[in-house]
Amino acid sequence: MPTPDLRELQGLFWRSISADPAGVAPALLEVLEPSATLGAAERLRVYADAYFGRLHDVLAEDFPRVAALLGGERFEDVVREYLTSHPSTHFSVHHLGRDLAAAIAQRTDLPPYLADLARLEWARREVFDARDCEFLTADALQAVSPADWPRLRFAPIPALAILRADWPVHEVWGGTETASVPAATCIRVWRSQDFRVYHAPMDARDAEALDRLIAGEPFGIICTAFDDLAPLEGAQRATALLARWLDDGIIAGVD
Amino acid sequence: MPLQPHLGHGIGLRPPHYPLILDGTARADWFEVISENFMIAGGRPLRVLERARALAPIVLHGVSMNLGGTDPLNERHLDALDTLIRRFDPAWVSEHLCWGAFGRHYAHDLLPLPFTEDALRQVVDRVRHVQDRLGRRILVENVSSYVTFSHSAMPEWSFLGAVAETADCGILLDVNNVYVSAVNHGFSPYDYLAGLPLDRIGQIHLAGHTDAGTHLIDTHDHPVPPAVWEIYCAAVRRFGPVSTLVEWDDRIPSFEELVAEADRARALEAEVLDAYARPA
Repeated sequence: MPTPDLRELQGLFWRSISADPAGVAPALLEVLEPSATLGAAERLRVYADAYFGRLHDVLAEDFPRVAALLGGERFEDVVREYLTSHPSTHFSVHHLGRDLAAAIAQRTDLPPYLADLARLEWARREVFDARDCEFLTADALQAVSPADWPRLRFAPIPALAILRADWPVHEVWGGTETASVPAATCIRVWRSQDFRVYHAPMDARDAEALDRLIAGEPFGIICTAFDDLAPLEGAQRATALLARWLDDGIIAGVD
Repeated sequence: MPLQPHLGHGIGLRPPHYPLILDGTARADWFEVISENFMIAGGRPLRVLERARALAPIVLHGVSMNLGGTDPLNERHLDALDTLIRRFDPAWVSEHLCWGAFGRHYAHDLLPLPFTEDALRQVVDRVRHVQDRLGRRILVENVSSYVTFSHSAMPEWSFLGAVAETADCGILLDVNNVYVSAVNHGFSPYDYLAGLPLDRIGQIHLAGHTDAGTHLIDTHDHPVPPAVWEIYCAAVRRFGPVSTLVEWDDRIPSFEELVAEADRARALEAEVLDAYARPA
């Protein structure tokens, strides 16, 4: 058998360490020497174990609640299947878990809320590294005349994500309980000025208001999310919500 | 004329020690960071790197450029590295002498090359491309390895030296990796040092490893062991004073413990150099 060239050798090596179950290409074994203590296949196995172990640890770090809920063996099984169907395509390992939630959703043998929980954990991961920006403070709005408020357009910070889930996974994330009853849930996820990542559920009105803010609608339109309430109560709720957004640091600027 | 400035004895900066950077209490001659961990849009890691850069020189150490690969070099990766270089002005940039991707899929591991003329040409071309793109000389690091290719035509040190000489790059000499590979493959670490060109060593790495019984694994989760310190002293005797860094990537100890290891490297370097300077 001719010696493989570098490209062929790397293809054989890649398939041997990334395949599940691991299998060593005979053509590769032909060019691997044993050591004094290990056979050629055992030496190659060091790389196969390291490949799985390293990427498993990355996913366990990015999806700690998913990993904890599944437990060691089951999470390993999910990781093995995921790495086979979604090998890393980015030079930074930070992107490895991008499709894990979708992959979990394809499986019927896992808890039904798990994909939503994975989406929440990935949203937290993404806002952690999102672009920096200035933050708008309540003080900066003091000078705005009341007549101008309906026309104000707010810009959200880049480190803000909205997650719409079929399960109340913020409850699962925060505790040891598992979700047993589905419930349409909207969660905002954001990174604060001190770089901590938070998430909080929103009721339908708050979610609609935030959608409008993100869409660039003026404050007057944002307030219509509360039109079903009495005018005074609606205005108070909208103002309080804006104050909370400012306090949480999810607004970058105003126009 | 040294290949790189002697920055002293630095520390590999990892997340557990970020608070000490942010509050300004971390003290080190210099810091090395993993380049890819900072190829992000924003957030705390970049703030940490800004603060670290204000405290001491920094060096960017890459792990997935795939210098020994056969896929085309990833120009987006090079762009991201270039952006990082322009923003943080590192003292130098390093990468590994290995491959880590195939078919546009990344292993996120340091995979071994056969030491052949074919692989040498491939690596040299790619190092040149990277250097041309970045407009600077890089350092390439020897990796620990666990397999031996029967068609290798030269020892690892000859391959590493030839890459450095032909591509006109520097060498990041990881003495722990030399020791791990020496045990795994049965060669002398001192032959390795003797086989490297004298004027190409720009940096030294020190680290610990794990003894798996049948082989050593480069885990970076233990203190630098005595055998690696011995090779370090031999490297200082052969190459003179070289910027040296202690690496920990797992079971990371307190910052004080890292500083103590860097201080030990400093003391050993001084001891070796002093012995040389003393009149016979």
